[in-house]
Amino acid sequence: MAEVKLRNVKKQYENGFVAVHDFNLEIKDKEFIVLVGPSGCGKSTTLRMIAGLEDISGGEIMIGENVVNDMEPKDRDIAMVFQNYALYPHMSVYENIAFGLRLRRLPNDEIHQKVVEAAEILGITELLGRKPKQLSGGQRQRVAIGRAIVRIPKVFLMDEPLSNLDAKLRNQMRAEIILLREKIQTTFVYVTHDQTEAMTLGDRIVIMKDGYVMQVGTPQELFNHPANLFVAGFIGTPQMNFFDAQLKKDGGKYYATVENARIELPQHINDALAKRGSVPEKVTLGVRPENLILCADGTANSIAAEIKVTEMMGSEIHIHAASAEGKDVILRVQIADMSDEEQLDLIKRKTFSFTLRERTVNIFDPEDGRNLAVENAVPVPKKAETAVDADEFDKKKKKDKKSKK
Amino acid sequence: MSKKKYTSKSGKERTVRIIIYIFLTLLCVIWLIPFIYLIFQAFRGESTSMVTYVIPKQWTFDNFIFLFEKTNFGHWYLNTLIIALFNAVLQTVIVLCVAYALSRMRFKGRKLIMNLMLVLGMFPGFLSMIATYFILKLFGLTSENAVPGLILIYAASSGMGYYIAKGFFDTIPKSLDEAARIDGASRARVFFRIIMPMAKPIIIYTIMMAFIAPWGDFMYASLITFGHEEAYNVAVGLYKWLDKEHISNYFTIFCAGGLLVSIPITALFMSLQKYYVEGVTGGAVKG
Repeated sequence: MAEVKLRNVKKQYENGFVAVHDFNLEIKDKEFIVLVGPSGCGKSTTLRMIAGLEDISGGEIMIGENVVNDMEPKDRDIAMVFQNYALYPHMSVYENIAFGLRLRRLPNDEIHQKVVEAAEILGITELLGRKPKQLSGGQRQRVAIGRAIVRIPKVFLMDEPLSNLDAKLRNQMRAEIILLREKIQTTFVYVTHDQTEAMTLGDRIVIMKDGYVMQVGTPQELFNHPANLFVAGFIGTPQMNFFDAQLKKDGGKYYATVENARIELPQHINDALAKRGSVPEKVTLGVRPENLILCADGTANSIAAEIKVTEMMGSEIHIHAASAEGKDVILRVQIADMSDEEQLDLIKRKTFSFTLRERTVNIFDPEDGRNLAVENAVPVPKKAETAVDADEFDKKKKKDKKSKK
Repeated sequence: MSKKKYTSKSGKERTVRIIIYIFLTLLCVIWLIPFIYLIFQAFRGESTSMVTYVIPKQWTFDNFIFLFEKTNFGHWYLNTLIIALFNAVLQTVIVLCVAYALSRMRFKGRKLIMNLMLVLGMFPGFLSMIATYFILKLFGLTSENAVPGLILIYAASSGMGYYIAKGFFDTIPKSLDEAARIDGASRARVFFRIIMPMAKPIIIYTIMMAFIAPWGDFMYASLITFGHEEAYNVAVGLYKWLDKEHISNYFTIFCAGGLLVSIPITALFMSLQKYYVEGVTGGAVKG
């Protein structure tokens, strides 16, 4: 139960590789923050810096009122759940959960009471006498969570806790984490590369790429108003569609043209553009697959496309197509209201036309990828180096040196 | 296909198997001959010199009684046992600590130290023997005080044998250490409470190596004791009886001594064999 503040936090390894650049975030008390991004984006490193398992190269981390930069992990009053569970294999489940309490020299009956309580919350009471190797993956992860919650830490850190579980178990555990969070009111920092986990669990999500924070916001903000092209492409499956568009002004209002279709821009984009000094003429227009609407051929301001593949997903159909200008387009069509014949007809079609749900479009600067309607949007970092972690960076550096010789 | 084809072995396969077993049995016998010879000689009563036959004409325990009543063998045995036991403890602690530190901690010069130890380990130990002798003499740890001197020598260089233990520690996931540190354990506590219980095979392996090496050492022991008979270890003491002037009077006694020397090692090996095998493969394969 504490706030966590990260100010200008930086992580640079000895070989010069920068894993995290200038990370700023204020995590409120009892907030559930999810760090998400592709592998090598620095999310785990950031979490490990909060835990004290990695040194901080620059900046400041505060837990509650204390600056913890040089504090040992054990003094930070945090708990962490690891991806590979990290249970002590020679101890029983009971001892695994009790280990942290024993180190704090709590009286035995108090330890017993807390261990049993934690086990009851997680439904693992009957497993207390077993050794970790006698447990299934899901049970092990529960024990790992039990070990973390039993101390009631100020901050609860989770490093991809569900990625070792199969899909069904993952969904189940995700729901349990939501319930758990309601039971133990504390601050959560959760790392994942799975956007579904991020969207469903997080109060706020931090999206990272190449060590930079791309956007911090609620799942809704991220989904509806992504700060740049990377966020727009990362959140949401299938991915957002991007079109080359021309921005034009007509009677004090902006509109965009995409393949001869005129798209009226929603009010909030108009307001944001009006505030800007200069507005680029060429923009990238982004719209999600579910916001492309099938329409009759020849409808005003519609775009024609040729179908490449249709995927029947059960409750919806994904149409992969190419527009007249050769752009890849994905449509997500809900089919609950369609009869079987209509569905079949759709699957068999070769061409179709669609319009855009104008209220939902986003426009981006194609140069630096920023969303023109989001304030203080971060540009997409130019890929300076291709290394994903410090070791790889080291190898690459050596290779470069050799090739220079 | 009939079931028979899966269960019975073909004739050719069987012949190969029989040849292999005969070969292995022969190897065992050849390997055992010196040891059986030693046992027979140790119990031979008719004379103390070397003879041309193997099976004694007269069986006796006199050689063993002579060892303890008329010679310094008891002293040597005790010296060796003390050195070996001390070394087993010291070396095990040092090796495991060094291996753990090199496996888990990242500090400046870590790679340099590892490479340096590797290179230094390639030089035979006797290169530094004279220097070591004079340094020990300076501290008065030679001749009659050779026992602590020898313990110091064996224990001092033991950190260099960290490879196998490090290889073993490298296979234990780092996140276990991290989990324990977050749970509130210090580095030392992580080592003793989490890592040590999981490292039983490698502990046993290290103890055995640390016990056996000084138990059979001859070179350092003969130099550091420098002719001071009471401070000898068994290897040096027994070897003196193989001199030209002693061998005819002491040969069967030498054999009796040799038999007694083999007892602790055999006992140790037999009792820890299960772990020993586990320790070698567990550390070496994945390391």
